[in-house]
Amino acid sequence: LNGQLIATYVAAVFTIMVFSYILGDNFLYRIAVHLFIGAAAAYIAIVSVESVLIPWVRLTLEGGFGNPLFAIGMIPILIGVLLLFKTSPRFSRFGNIGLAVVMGVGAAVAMWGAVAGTLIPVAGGVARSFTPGNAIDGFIILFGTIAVLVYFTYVGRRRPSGVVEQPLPIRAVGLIGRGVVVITLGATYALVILSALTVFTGVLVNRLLILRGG
Amino acid sequence: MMFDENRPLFDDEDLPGWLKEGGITYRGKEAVKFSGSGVDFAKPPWADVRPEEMPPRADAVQVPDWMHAGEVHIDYSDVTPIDPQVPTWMQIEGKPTVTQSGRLLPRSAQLRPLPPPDPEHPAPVIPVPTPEDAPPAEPTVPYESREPLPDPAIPIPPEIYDPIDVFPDVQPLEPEPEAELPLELQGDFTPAPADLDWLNAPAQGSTSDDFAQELQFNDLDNPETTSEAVPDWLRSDAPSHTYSTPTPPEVSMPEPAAPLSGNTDNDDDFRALFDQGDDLFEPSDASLELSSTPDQPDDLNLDSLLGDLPAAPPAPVARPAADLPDWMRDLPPVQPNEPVTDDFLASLSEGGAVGDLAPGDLPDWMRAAAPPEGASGATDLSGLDFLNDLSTSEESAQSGNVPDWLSGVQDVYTPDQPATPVSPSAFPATGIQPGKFQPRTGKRDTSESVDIDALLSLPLSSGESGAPSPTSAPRELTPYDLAQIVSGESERLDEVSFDDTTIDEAMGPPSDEFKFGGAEAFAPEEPEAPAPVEPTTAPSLLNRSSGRKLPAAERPPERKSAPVSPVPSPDEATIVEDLPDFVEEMRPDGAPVEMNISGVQIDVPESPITTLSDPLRQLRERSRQVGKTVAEDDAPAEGALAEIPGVIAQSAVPVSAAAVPAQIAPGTVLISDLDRRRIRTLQNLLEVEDEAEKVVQKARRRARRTFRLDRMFIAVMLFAVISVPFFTDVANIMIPPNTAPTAEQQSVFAAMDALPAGQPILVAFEYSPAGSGELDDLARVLLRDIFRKGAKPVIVSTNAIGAMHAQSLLAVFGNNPAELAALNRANQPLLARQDYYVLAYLPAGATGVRAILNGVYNLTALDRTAQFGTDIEGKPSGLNDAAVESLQRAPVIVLAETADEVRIWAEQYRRPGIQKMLFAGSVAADAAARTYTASQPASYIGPLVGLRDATTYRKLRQANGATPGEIALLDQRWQSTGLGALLAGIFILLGAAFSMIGAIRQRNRVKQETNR
Repeated sequence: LNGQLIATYVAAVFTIMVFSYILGDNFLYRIAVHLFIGAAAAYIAIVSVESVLIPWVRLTLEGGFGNPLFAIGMIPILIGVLLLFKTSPRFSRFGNIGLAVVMGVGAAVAMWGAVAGTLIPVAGGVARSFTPGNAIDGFIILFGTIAVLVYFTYVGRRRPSGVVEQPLPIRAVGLIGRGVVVITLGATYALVILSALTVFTGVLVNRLLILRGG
Repeated sequence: MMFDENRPLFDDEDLPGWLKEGGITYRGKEAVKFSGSGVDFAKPPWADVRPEEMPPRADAVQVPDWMHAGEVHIDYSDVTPIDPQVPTWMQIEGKPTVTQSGRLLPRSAQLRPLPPPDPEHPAPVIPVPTPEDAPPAEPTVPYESREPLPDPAIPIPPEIYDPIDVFPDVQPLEPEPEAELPLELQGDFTPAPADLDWLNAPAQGSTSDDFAQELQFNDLDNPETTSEAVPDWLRSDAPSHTYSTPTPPEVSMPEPAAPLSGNTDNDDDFRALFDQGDDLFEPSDASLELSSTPDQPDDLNLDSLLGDLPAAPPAPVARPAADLPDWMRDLPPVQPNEPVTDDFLASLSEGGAVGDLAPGDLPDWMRAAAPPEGASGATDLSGLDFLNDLSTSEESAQSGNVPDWLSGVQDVYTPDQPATPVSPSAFPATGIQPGKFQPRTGKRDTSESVDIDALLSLPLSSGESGAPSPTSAPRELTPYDLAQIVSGESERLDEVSFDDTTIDEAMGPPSDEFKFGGAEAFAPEEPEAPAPVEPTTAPSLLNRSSGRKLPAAERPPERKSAPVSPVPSPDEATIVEDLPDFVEEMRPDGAPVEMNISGVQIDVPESPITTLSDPLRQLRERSRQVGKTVAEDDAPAEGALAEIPGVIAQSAVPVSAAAVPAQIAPGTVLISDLDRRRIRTLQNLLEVEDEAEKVVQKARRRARRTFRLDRMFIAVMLFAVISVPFFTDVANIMIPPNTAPTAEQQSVFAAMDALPAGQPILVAFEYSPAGSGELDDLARVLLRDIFRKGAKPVIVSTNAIGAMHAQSLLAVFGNNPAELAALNRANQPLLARQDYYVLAYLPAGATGVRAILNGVYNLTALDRTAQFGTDIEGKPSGLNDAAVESLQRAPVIVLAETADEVRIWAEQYRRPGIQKMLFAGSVAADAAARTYTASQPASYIGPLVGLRDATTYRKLRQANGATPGEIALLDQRWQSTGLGALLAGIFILLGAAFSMIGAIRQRNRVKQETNR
């Protein structure tokens, strides 16, 4: 027995324990799940400290004020200290400052990336897809996008009876947009199932069938 | 002359004229028949005052000095005037703001249960008299006890005393011993030495206040002041008698305790008060030993109970005009103990004329009604008819001149009767033969409040002379009278329906040494035979049999043990019915009770119990008794209603009302049908609750260990179908992946072939071990090509577990001999930080990817150093600036498990002129990756999707390095995944079909039910 084989057997056992959920919530399943979650959390903590915090401190704070990166290095440290105040209801307002920095920077980065990396490039690509050889695809893409946007329109007209109704064109286009959404979600669901089945086959090969020596 | 029973007890004709003038009559102002005065009695005296002549609104209510113990300021800013023709201080609409400082008089107000406020009598003024200067109170009858009683000789049915039978099933309860009374009740009626002090304190002031005080007979224990304290007209009103006036007793009084202050929050103070009150009524207290015999004046002195009395009345105090009500300011100044009006009336009754009076003796308002100069005799008092009846002369008491209601009295007390003392039992001290004086036989008129006849029929002494007067000279009330009234020996006052609780608790415990003179006070020759006072308690509201007055011999023995106290509590003593209206409204018990709850002071107004109607009062008493009967030990020890006192006990032997046994054994519970149904209902409710709880627990257990057949069937079917391709080729029905590379694959191949040797290439492992079953093969084929080209993968990940998985995968891959052999580097495992680099994971997701971009393109020097300086183990990565700089010339491989990782890398790792990005992800991320690659083919290459492209990649580019088993295993996995997807699709379709059928059937059912 070597470490690799022991790891293989242990992995097989835990895989069976997780599969036991088919029979319902049981003790074995919970043990396996708790072990995986606990190990992952511990590993993340170790990796965060070992590969992120300590290198950062060595890079910026080591050497004190003589380090040219000391001032910059103190910024994330200060923000981190502020975030620790969130644990105290009395001083949580100080933690809001650090939280504001984190959230603000994250939102700005995500928004800029969404506009510059997704909306404009994808819109341009859809526009460029209108070629004589790709007219149908381009039309489907364009009409599907418009239909979905119309479907998410919540503007209507209130009738004398008090009932709010949308105009017929909007309702018709919206119905098509709802179909597009359903197809998209169905396809995504199917892809997820297919991905899961692929994972399942990989588990069978790499965790269970390997035990037969094949 | 016999008493006319049909005549109402309270007749307006018997009222003094000054009351009639003020519109204070029994039947109202409209019923006043007063002629000859020239005064419009339909209007109050102040009706003619014009608004501009009214005094300005006072900041404080003008009350007499004796009412000023603390300071009470009343703010009338929020009070809405009712009538502009009425003085402002009399217009009370709403409740003014009262600011009070100083002591509160009634300590019972702090302790007594709070009655609801009386909205009809919003007390505008809250007097705060102190025990020192409070007016003498009526020491005999609590103000609550003003109901006339039926004649004791005639039994009254119990129904009369239960007008509202709210609790018909509640049995009358015997009064509990005083020691077991709640604290509040003890505090209510436990007198204190301070109470005695202020009871005995002389009244200050004069005019109407004095008159009102004199009506209360408060100063009767002082022989020096009694004769003047009693109004003359009342003296003349009294019948004559032949008894000798007893000498006022003198009793040595122990040093009184400290004055009480009812406004205390200290519990110890309350305890001390109660202790003092208990001490007063201790049988061993020698100070209470009294005797009323004239030969033993020291033994009979009510002062021992009422406290020391000043030898002389205090000097008259000039009362500020502001202390008097406006309508009193016009009255001439008077001296204490010299009642102007009363003397005036007395002189009139003795035959004097109005003109003989001194100018200051006649009030202005009476001067207008006085007869003209020269008129004399009772017949001249045309404006004061009632004074004719009050003549003190014997002739005036003859028939025709005496009011009807006094005629019976005079029949009894004729001057010819001898002055022989009569035994109290045979002839009460009141001198009234019960058989001859029966104003109300068997009647119970609840509309009558005060039995004035009974009060006025008491024998009065002649005052200072002390000699028995054969005439109708007024006689002061003696201690014996007080004792008679208190003890209930007075036949007349015995008819007064005392409040049971008030009497029982107001009166102290009986004392053996507490000896009233009783009849001995009037029988000096038999001083050694003091008649013990037989305490009489009012009939209990719950005890129907006690509703009628029983003879002493027939009274229950337990009733004799009721405590007797000759001194009422101060709050009771201050309430008299005959006070003017504005004084009644200033009842001390109306002062709000200050309650301090958690630091919040709340003023709770308190109203006397007399404001309650008789049914409500009886209901109150019954409720209190019922609450006492519920003992804690009645609570069941088990069951749903455990430890809840007063619940219906479960019948051990349910007995139906229809089958009541002839002989009921002790302890057998008999319940009616209604009770049985109620009990059954409660039991059913409890059973339903228990059953529901069982069902819930059972459902929880079932949900936790549910073995769902459909789920098990699908799982088994999937497991079997997926496993079959690994054991046989029979089930290989799926089309194998293309062996010819697609356009996406060719773009990837071209990018990989373009990698120069030693070129670092950024590889993002954005998947966790959960996605390793799908992406590990794809990662291996890509890494294999990278290593074959001599490139050096630089592994980064925004997922810490993904970075760990990459490290593990590379460690296995770099030590696999087959892989190493395929790389032509047998026995040369791949080394971290040399052949590949697993950098630290990128925190903050998109921000981390952005930091990588900054580091690669050296946008910030810190990012390059921070992101590429160390690896996942915290060690220096070994990458230098040239290596990092070279990343700009190599494509970025993104192994994404989900669409989010694809989007993050596509959005953040962007820069003009950047190398293409290769997406290699799972099937779930295929749609997103394909969207980016299709829309921006110049920026992205690929994508490679999961197992399919891994198999194709392996077969097309790495077949020579792979064993046949590895290729076969990839095919088997493809077949397995295909079969599993097919079966899953079938199950999904079947499930959707079943769901649709069920929905249609349900909709049809609803339609049918709707149509029906």
